[in-house]
Amino acid sequence: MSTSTLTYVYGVTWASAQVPDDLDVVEHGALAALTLPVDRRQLRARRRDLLHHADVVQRVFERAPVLPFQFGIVVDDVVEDVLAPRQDELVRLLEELDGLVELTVRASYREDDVLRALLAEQPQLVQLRERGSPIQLGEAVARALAARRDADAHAIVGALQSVARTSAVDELRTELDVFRGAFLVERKRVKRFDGELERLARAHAATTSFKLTGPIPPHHFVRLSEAA
Amino acid sequence: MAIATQGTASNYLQRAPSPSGLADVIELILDKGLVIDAYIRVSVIGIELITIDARIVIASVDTYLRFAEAVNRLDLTQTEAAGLAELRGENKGKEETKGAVEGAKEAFHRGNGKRSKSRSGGDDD
Repeated sequence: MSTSTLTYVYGVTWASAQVPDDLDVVEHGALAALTLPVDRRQLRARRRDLLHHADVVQRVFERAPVLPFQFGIVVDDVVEDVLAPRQDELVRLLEELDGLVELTVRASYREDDVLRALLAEQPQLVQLRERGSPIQLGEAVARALAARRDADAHAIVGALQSVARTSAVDELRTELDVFRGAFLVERKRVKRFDGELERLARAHAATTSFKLTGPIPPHHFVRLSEAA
Repeated sequence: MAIATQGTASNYLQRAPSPSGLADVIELILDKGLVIDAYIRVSVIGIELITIDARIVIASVDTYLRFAEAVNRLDLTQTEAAGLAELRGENKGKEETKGAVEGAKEAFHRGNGKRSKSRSGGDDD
């Protein structure tokens, strides 16, 4: 079977894990790959495929530690190409991530609210609004916003890092983004993390909306060395 | 009171047990996740557009102009004028004043969702 078809890999977990019945599993030693037989190497990133990939690793993660793979990994033979050559590293990574979850945090300003706050704090912006050119005004606002964002992001990371094992910062996507990133947190400290974020969000509520996602598999924190 | 607190909390902190939207999922499983060897990852069609779309240039003339427009659009007189009117005991344009005063109160309450705040904030008056 494995000779005639290719294998899509969602992720890797322990062979001892109780994986939902509808998922295909290929075991090798202590490891189990979550797989799907496919017939071609080229994949389309359709909405339902992306959501399905995320759903598979999420469902397994609710029962056991899982190393989520990036979307689009197709191999000839999952044992030969993945599990056997990387066995030691995969085992070590699963052990390291045991009991740890990822929580992603997004914080972004609500435009009107943050601009209003900036104008209330900085009278020179109000003056520019009355007398400056649009470019002067816009540039001054952008600068003030950037300074505010840096300070706020610093406060957010500082507070959340104290209840997390480690963190990963994502690139900002819009000028209203304050912070985007993920935290690796012990499962038993998720409540504390949530409480800390609640406190932060409350303190920044006048200008900022927060979003917390998780606990989810440690997408941000799975990395192997470059060479096999 | 418990209800009011919860309603307010949902405005500034939204929680999702798992990545809910396509954008969240894309970011997690296209950008992140384990890669065994770079060459193993197959060509995935149709993602370039999605990911490139999302990146924006933070400092640009366009951004400046947009901020300028947004700032000019803000009605800064709203809350202050209402405060003065109230101090002077003026009562004409009652509707408008009332709305603005509530606006000012909201500002004090750190600008949570406008309608839910004025409805749930039973301790305001």
